[in-house]
Amino acid sequence: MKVLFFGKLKEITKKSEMEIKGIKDLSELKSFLYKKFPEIEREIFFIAVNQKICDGDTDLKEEDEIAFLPPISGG
Amino acid sequence: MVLKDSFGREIDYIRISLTDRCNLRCFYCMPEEGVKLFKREEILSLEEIEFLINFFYKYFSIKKIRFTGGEPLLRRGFENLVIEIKKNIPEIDINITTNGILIKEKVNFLKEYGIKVNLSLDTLNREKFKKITGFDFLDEIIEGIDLCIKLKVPLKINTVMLKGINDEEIFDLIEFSREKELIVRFIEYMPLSGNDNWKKFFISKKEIMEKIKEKYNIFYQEKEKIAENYILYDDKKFVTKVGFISTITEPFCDFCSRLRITSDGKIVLCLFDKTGYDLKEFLRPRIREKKLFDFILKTVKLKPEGFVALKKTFFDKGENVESFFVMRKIGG
Repeated sequence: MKVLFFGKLKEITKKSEMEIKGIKDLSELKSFLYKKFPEIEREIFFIAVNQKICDGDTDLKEEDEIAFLPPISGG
Repeated sequence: MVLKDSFGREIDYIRISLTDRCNLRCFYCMPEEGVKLFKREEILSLEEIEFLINFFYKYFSIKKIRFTGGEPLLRRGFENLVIEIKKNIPEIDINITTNGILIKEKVNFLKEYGIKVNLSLDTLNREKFKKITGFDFLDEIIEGIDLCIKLKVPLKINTVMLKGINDEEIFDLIEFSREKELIVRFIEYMPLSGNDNWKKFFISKKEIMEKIKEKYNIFYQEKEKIAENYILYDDKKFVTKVGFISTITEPFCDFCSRLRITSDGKIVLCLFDKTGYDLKEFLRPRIREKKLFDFILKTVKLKPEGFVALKKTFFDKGENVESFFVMRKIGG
């Protein structure tokens, strides 16, 4: 699955995207990323799975695209 | 009691046209060459409008209304109407769809009475505005928008997308949305009365999304009754939120909870159903409440399934579909 980083998260991870395998759901993905990039845990962000904003936990498939998005402001 | 149609859809929202007059002549609604306007006595009086709103609230608990037109702010006595309604029904949710020209004169009132505004604006380009509407009022409208923002009057922008006219402004509109922190809703152009150029101007949500994706990352956020909202990001940050009202490609008839009343007092059950059901008969020379109640119950049961049912014919036949309705008498 593809993970995309935007804004501050991109600065922290120094990547705009990465390929990950074997992750079953969002919770697991977050744990994995927090271990790899501890600074992320402090940040506020939204998560979109296949270009749809998610709230709560979601099961993930190998072909999914998960985007970590900086906060919405205004609008 | 709950007012339901024969498909189980509940009516909780009344849209009332206050006038068929407008201070613009948008070519797709109110062309220059002339429109036949209602005579004064044909239009519902303010008292009659007030009565109907109270009636729908009393019998069917309907608390959400939208004033449309023509241009609703042109209706003399608009403020008094709102004041009286609010007195009777303090919790009423009043909305207005306006072209925004008269907002700067009314903005304090709109704020004081908690009126929420949808502003119809199809272009940010002054020359194009003149071309579409026949008038040079863009400055006044932007002034009105800024005043709403300053006073925190809830405001959304409704933009009818017209291929070859404002589709090239998609990024300008997004930038406007970002700068003003306002949501812009892209509306799919509907086939309207006296107008057979639908195919020429129609641009779909899909086409607009493709265009947006050239520059931004777009993520689906939420559904808001008839609009679907998306958030836009560039590489670094959140840009803005936009909406799509995809009447043609993604009809939302299943969720329709609205009843429309034209300025001359006819119920219109669906924008794609020309029939008007006359209410004045039960208001003049005097109000006949029981008969009106029965009539409304009966009429709502006639509400058709909607465009979603017509769509197959409409697209498959590809013919010039006969006009469904007259926008300026209903206000969309």
